[in-house]
Amino acid sequence: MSRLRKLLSLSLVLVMALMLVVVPAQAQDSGTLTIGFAQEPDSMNGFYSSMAFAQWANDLVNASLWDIDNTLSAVPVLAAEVPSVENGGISEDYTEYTIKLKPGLTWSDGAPLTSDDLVFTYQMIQDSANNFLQAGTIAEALVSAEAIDETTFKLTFNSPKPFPEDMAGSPGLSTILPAHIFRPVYEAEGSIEFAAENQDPTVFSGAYTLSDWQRGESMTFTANPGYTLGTAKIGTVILRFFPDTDSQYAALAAGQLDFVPNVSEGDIPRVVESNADLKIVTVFGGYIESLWLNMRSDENPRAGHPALKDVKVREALRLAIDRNTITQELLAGATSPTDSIYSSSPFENPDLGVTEYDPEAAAALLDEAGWAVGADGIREKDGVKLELRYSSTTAGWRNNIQAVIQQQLAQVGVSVILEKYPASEFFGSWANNGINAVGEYDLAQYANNTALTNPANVTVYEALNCDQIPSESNQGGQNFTGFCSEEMDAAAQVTLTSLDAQERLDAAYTIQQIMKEQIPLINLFPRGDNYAYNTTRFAGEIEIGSGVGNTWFDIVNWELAS
Amino acid sequence: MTRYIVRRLLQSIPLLFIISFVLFAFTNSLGDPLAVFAESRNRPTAAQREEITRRLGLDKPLLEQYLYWLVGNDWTLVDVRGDGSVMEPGTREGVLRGDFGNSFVTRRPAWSRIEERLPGTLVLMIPSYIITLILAIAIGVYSSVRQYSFIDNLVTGLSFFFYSMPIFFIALMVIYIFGVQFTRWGLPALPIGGTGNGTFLDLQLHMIMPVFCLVAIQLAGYVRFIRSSMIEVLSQDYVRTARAKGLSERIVVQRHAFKNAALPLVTLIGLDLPFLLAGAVVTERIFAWPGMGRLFIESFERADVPVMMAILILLCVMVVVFQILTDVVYTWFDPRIRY
Repeated sequence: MSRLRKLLSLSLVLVMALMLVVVPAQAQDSGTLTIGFAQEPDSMNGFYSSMAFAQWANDLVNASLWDIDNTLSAVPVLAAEVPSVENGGISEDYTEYTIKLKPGLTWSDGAPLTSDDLVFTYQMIQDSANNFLQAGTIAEALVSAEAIDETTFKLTFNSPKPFPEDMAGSPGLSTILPAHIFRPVYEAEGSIEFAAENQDPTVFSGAYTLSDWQRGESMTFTANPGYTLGTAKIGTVILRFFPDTDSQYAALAAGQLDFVPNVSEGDIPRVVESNADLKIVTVFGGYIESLWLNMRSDENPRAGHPALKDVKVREALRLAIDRNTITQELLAGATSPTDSIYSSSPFENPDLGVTEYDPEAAAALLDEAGWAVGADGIREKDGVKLELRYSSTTAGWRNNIQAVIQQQLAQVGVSVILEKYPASEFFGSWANNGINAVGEYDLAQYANNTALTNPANVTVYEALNCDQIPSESNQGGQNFTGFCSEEMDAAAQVTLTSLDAQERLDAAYTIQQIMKEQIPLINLFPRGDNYAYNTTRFAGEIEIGSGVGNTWFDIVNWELAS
Repeated sequence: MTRYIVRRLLQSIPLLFIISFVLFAFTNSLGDPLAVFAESRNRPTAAQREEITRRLGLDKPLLEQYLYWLVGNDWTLVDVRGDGSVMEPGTREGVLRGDFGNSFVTRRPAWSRIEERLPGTLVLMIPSYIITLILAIAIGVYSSVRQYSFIDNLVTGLSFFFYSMPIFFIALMVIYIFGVQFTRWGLPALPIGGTGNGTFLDLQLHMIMPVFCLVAIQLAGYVRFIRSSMIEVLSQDYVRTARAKGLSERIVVQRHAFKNAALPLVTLIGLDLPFLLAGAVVTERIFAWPGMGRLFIESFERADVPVMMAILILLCVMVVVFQILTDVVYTWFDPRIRY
C-alpha cells in the first residue's frame, strides 16, 4: 500500500505548496474600488429592470438630466439647469417642460449627446412595443416630446405635472438612450427589447464605462474621461457578485471588498464587529415597512379576518406591537418606529407622533370591541377565534420580525399563524394566485416605495385608493387592503395635481391624519439602505446619495487612500 | 450493439416528451415572473403588466403555452391588448427548432445563459469529482484490504465527520478560517469568492476552498460504497483461486477484485456524471462561483421558466445519454454482458 501513502503525501505536499504561493489576498491596488453586490444586474438598460442592483450599476454609467443629492436637492448633470416656472423651463400650468442641455456633451464613443437622444428616449417610453418595465407614469402622462434645437427639447403632458423629477431627471428618468445605437435596432425590429446594447452596452454617458462583464462573477468599470462633471479620481471600480451574504461579509471583513450596499439591518452589529475599519452609513429611500391589513370582502376575491374591519381591533393591534423593541433589538437601532407613510421625507407631519407600545390599552380595546379571551387564552367573538394569518416574503429579517410580532400579539390574546412565500408568489398577479392580489392573508408585511421628493405617494393614491380594490372586473387593482376613504382619495388627488406647494403639503398632512386614525395599515418603520465601507481604503469621507436619487452622485470626488 | 443504442435512443424520445411536460407544468406553477416589480419605484401600471404578460404568452392555458414552447409561436398572432386591436406576429421558434426562448429576466436566449455558466461549473465540478474518485478508490480499497485497521477506522471516521456536516457549514468555516482569520493573523489568506482575475494560478487559488468542500462532503459515500463492494468481492471463490495460483496480492486486488467490484461503481458514476453539469447549488452560492447551480436558483427565484426549462431539459438529455454510455461501458468490465 505504498502507493496510497505516496498519493497522500503527494497531495499533502501539493496543498502546502499552494499555501506558500498564496499571495496575501489583501486588497487590490490603490486605483481600484471593489464593491460587493448580492445580486447580478439583470439588464444594463434601466428601463428593463426593477432591481436595485441593476439601478446601482446603471447609475455608474448613465448620466441623468439632474441628480438628487443627499440633501434631496436637484443637481444638474446633463441639463444646463433644473427647469422651474421661475426660470421659464416649466409653463405656468405645468403641462410643458422646456429643458436645455449643457452644450458640447458627448457619449463615451465621441458621438454628440443632443436633444435628439432625449426625444428618442421619450419616444421609446411612449411605444408600448418596447415592453419597458420602468417609466410607466411617464408613458401615461406624456403627449409629445420634440427637439427645438441641438440642446433644447420640449415635453408636453396631458395634465399638470408639478414634479419635474418624476417626468425628467432622476429618479423618474435615470436612463437616457443613445439614439445612434438604438435607433437602427428600433427601425429594423420595431422594438428595442432585444437590442444587444441592453445586455452588452458599449456607449455611456456617466462617470464610468463598463469595460468587462464576467457573467455570474463581476463587472469592471473604467473612469469615463468625457463625463460632464469631470473624470472620476478612482480609475477602476469592480462589482463582484456575492449571492451569499455570509461569504460577502467575510470578504468585507478580510479586506477583500471595500464597499457593500444593502447590509440588512439585522446584520449591522456583526458587520461592524467583524472589522474595526468598517463604517455603516444609512440613507433613507422612502421604503416604509408596514403590516397591510386585509379588510376586503369575499368578492375581492377573499375576505380577511372579520375583526380587521373594526377600527378598534386595528388600533389594538398597533398598540400591542412593540415596534421600538423590534427596531432596537432586531434592526440594531438603524431605524425607528413611525405612524407616517411619509416618514423621513420633508412631507412628514412633525406633530403626528408615534403610537407607544401599550398592551393594556390594546387588551381593553379588544374587550370593548367584543373580542373576549376564551378558555384557551385566544380571544373570540360569536364563535370566531381571533386568529390571524400573517404572511411575508422569505427574507430572513422579515421572518424574525414576524416571530417577534407573533409573540407580542399572543400576549393580548391574538393568535397569529406565520406564513412566508417567495416574492414571485407573494407579489404574484390575480391570475397567478398571488398572495396579496387574491387576499390570501390577514396581515401582510412588506414595503411600498414612497417618493421623497414630492408628496404624491403611491401607497396613498394607488395602494389605498377606492377604485383600486381588486375584483373579478378589476383584477389588476392594487389596493390589497380593501380600505376606502373618499376624503383620503380627494387629498391624494390634491398631492398629485395641485400646483400650490402649500396646498399639497396640507393634503399630505390630512392623509397622515386619516391614516393614523383609520389604520388601513400598521406602519412599522422606514427601511434604510445601509452601506458598509472600509474607511482605511478611502482618503477622507465619502458622500453617498439619498436613496431616491443616484447613490453615486458624488463618486467623481471619491478618492482612495494611497 | 449499434442496434441496441439506436433502440434505446428511440425509446427515450417519448420519455423526454413526458418529462418535459411535467417539468413545464411544474416550473410554470412557481409564481408570477412579473411579481418582482411589486416593491420597485416607478413600476409598470396594471395595464402595462397585462400587456407584457400577453407578449410573453403567460395569459394562455398551460397546454397552449407548452405547445408554443415546443414548436414556437411564429405561425400565429399575439393579441397584445387583449381586444384584438393590436396583433403582433409571434417570434419564438420552439425547442424542437433549437429555440429555448428568451429569459424573462435578461431577455437573452435562455441557451446563451447556459453557455455562460457551463464552463464555470465544469471547471469546478470535474476536478472535484476526479479528486473524490481517486481518493475514494484509494481509501476504499485500502480499508477493504485492511479492514478495521487503525487507518481504516481513522479515514472512515473522518470521512463520516465531513459527510454528516451540512455543506454550507463546512464552506463558511473554511472561509472563516482561511479567508478571514488568516488575514487577522497576518498569514497569507485565501481569496473569498469568484474565479479570480483570469490567470490559471489565480483560478487555482480560488478553487482550493470550494473543491475541498465538495470533496469533503462527497467522499464518504463513495468510500463506503467501494469498501463494501470490495469486501464482498474479496470473499469470492475466484479471489481465493487467484491467491491459490500464487498471484501477488497486488495483482489479486487490482486485477481480480477491483475490476469486478468496479461494476456497481460504474453504475453510480453513470448516474452521477450528468449531474456534474447541474453544478453545486450551495457551494456555488457561498463561493460566488459563476456556475449552473446558481443560475438555476436565480432563475427559480425570478420564476424564469425558459432558463429553468433549458437547464432541466439539458440534464434530462444528459441522464439518458449517460445511461446508454454506462451500459456500453459494462461490456468492457464484464465480457459476459452482451446486447
